[in-house]
Amino acid sequence: MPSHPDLPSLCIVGDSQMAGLRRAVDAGLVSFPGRHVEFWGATGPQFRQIDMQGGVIRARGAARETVLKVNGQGREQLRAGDFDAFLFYGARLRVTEFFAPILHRWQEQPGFASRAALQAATRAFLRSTRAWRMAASLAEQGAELHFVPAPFPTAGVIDHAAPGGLLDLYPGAALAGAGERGRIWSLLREASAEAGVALVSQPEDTVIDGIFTDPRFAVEGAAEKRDAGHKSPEFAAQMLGQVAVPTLRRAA
Amino acid sequence: MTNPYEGLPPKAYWRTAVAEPGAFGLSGLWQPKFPVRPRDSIATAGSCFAQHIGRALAGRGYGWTDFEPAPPFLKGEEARRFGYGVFSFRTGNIYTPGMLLQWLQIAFGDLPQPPETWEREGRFFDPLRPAIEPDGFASETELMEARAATCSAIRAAVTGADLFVFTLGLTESWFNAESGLEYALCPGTVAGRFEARSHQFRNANSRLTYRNMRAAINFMQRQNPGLRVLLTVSPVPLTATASGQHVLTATTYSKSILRGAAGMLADEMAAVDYFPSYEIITSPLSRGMFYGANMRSVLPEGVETVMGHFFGAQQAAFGVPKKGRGRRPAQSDRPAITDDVACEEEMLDAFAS
Repeated sequence: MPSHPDLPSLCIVGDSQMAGLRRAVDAGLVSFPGRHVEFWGATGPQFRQIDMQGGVIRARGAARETVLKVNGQGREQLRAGDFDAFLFYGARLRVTEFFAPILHRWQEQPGFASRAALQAATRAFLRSTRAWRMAASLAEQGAELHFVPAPFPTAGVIDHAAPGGLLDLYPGAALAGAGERGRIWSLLREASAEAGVALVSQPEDTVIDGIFTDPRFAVEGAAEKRDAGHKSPEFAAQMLGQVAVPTLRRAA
Repeated sequence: MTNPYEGLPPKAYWRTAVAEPGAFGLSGLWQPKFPVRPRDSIATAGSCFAQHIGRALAGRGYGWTDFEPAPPFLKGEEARRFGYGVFSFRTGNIYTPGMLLQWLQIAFGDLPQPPETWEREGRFFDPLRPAIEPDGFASETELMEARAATCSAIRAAVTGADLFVFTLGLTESWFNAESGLEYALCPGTVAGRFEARSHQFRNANSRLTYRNMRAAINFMQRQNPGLRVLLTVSPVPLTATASGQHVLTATTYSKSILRGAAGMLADEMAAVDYFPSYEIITSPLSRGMFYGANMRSVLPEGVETVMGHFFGAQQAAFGVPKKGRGRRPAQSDRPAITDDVACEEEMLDAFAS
């Protein structure tokens, strides 16, 4: 099902992280003048019911219902040719799980792994995420692909030092600086670019305490919901500002 | 009694202990000195055969410890390509007792970090472990930082392990004539450039092999008085010899020296034992069946048989082991950030309209 034939089109594919972006659109913080934009996705756990067969992304079971609700235009499947560009947003690419152990170990042993070993680890990390593999496959078929990973957890919302928490597992990550984060972002961007995917880093001015998102970007009611994962519409607007989508620029 | 051979148990006679039971009926081959418990922290190092022991221990739920784990998400073959998860630290193969002693002395600061590196087309190789980084390090700084990390892991292994398993592999090695640095491999094979004036060959004799191995064990036990050491000899023959002998006789000579040294140390030191993996694979009883077509590589069936003897002998001597750290479900390394319910609420709330 091709999108609007007269306008450059963008499909935003994601999980619940996409909610912040949708709210940003609703609040007028983000707009796509002269562009046809569709959302497509499901909650994180439902991503297990989204797969790709024969170059087509499709949702099954409960994920299908959510996809239809999120999309609102009856689009059940995605093909590379359906849109001029795709923006994967969140989509289960939890970079915190990659950053935290590396940042932690760098504090103890700066040379614990060579750049070549880290490059191999980076490729393995990206490949471990189903949505990233889908994005890479769409890119391989010629689609323009951008990927905004799930952001770092919000500071202070939950006790990250509690057993099983981020700082319990990787206390050294809190000591990391911009340079160290930049090295990992660089690895991620490089490995993504090899697959034709433009990966978008989290802006430094949203990051505090080594590996956390500044609480001013917390989702509304984060403390009550104990939700350190989701972010505010303002954060989504800031993230989208990092995305360089030539297709969209052409339409501006 | 008319002579000391009368009245000995069946295991003392070739006919009753070997010829009659056959290759798969061997028993009582090893009387372990001490129990190896699943809860023990076990470090493995040495020649390539040692990696099979580490893997088998981990597979059985024993506490084989990786003191230098791979970066996150780098697993399996890809990790092993970078030398992670092969031994308890990322030294690559340590073929000789002298090389083990040298690594220990460097790791604990008794020897300075050797400054020598091998360069090829802008990439740098560590003479102590030239194969550890498949394409070499990007710079000498990266090489030295990575070596520092390995030295740190060696220190952690020696001071933190309950059992150190070392497989002796070779007596032949190459040295830098000026600095005395022992190389892991001959320069010019995997990396580096061979220079006859600078690079010296040595085939360690029994005396030197024993002395180096004893010094290495003493060194480790000074750091960790409770450390037990289990020695094995690699049944893998030499790929090539620089001794001038035929590779077959050079192999027998080398393995005999290593086997002798291991036996002497096990006899002399209470906290040192010898496990006869070498005999299981190489004995005439096995008729070479545990080797691959090249009569050098040990087949998985051979490793399985060896480890069967290991666990069987342990159980016979000390009973069925209690479950240990290896069987405990690993703590998740995925930090708790958001639960699934929050994801669903967030999504449905934003797209409700």
